[in-house]
Amino acid sequence: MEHTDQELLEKFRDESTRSYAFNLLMRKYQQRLYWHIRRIVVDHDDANDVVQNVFIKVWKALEKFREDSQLYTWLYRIATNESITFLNSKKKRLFVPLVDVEHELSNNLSGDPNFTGDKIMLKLQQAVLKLPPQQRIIFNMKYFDGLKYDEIAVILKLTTGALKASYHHAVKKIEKYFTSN
Amino acid sequence: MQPDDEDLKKIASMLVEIKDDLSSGKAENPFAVPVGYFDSLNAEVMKKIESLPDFESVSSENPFQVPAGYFESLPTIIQQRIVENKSKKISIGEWIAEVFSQPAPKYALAFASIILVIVFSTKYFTRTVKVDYVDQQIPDSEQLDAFYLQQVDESTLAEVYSEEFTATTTTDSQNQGIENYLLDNDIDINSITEQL
Repeated sequence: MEHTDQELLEKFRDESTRSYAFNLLMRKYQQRLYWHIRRIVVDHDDANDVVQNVFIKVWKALEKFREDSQLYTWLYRIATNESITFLNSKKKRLFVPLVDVEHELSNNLSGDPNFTGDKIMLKLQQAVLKLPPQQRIIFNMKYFDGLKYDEIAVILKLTTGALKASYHHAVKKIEKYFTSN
Repeated sequence: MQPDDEDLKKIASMLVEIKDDLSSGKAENPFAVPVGYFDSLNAEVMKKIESLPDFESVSSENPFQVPAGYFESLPTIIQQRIVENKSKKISIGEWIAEVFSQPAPKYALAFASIILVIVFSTKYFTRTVKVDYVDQQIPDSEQLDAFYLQQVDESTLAEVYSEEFTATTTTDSQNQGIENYLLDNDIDINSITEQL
């Protein structure tokens, strides 16, 4: 039986059941967060590093979580910020602009053993990687994660109108990429 | 100006001529398309439509994979890392080494700059200033005074000052006594001055 977020938080606040509660929380959210991160950083090893860092941050900060927002939106926000920070640090390490990092990721996709998509799916991922970071995250959250605009708005702290416009532009750019390549 | 009957007749005959040309296929289209274009257009459009991702469907296929058993072992790995972080107490030396091993060298540079500023500030503000009291431009007596003043400690100075203060106070009280005596005996100080 899957525990509710409220139950998990209560167990976490109790010193005697803290580790157990955190284990349950990880099992509940690890896949959703991992895939969200993986779609941003693309490479499995990078996604593995980021998801571990995300959960360690969650462990440190969960005690102070005041439930102003829902637990999963809070977790998504941490995962999104960590992924962007990771890409930025990768850019600095390699001394290349972010677009070049994404170009490299796009090239690596075709030879990645952990990528099993067909030609169309590869093309879709390459098109997505050509989007500006924020549009890419919005597109992933809406299209792949199936989140609602209201939920994405809370996670990214944006207005629903701005999100809809961004998603619309992202779709148009992907369509253009498909028709011109 | 309204067209007269003659003009109307001419226009009518022209329209009849154009009608004959159109029906006989004399009017040609100036534009052209590649050979067989319209035969393949339908298939081409369908191909593009099929290749487009279905943006309307919410749940989409996930093309990525993870190594086998990854999600089963992930919670254990993370909890191990949390335990390691808890028990890990690093010394200042290790911390500095960690700062310098960071991928972003700007933090290490900033840290090094701060250390340098602290070291040089401490050196500067705690330095000993040596004053050479032997100077050709200063008279010997002043140099001697300066030399003695350097040897005198604060307690000696305080003692000397207190003695001077007592002496001044004593002189003042003596003057006050003379003044009172002159006033009591109604002696004019000018007459004394004249006598002297």
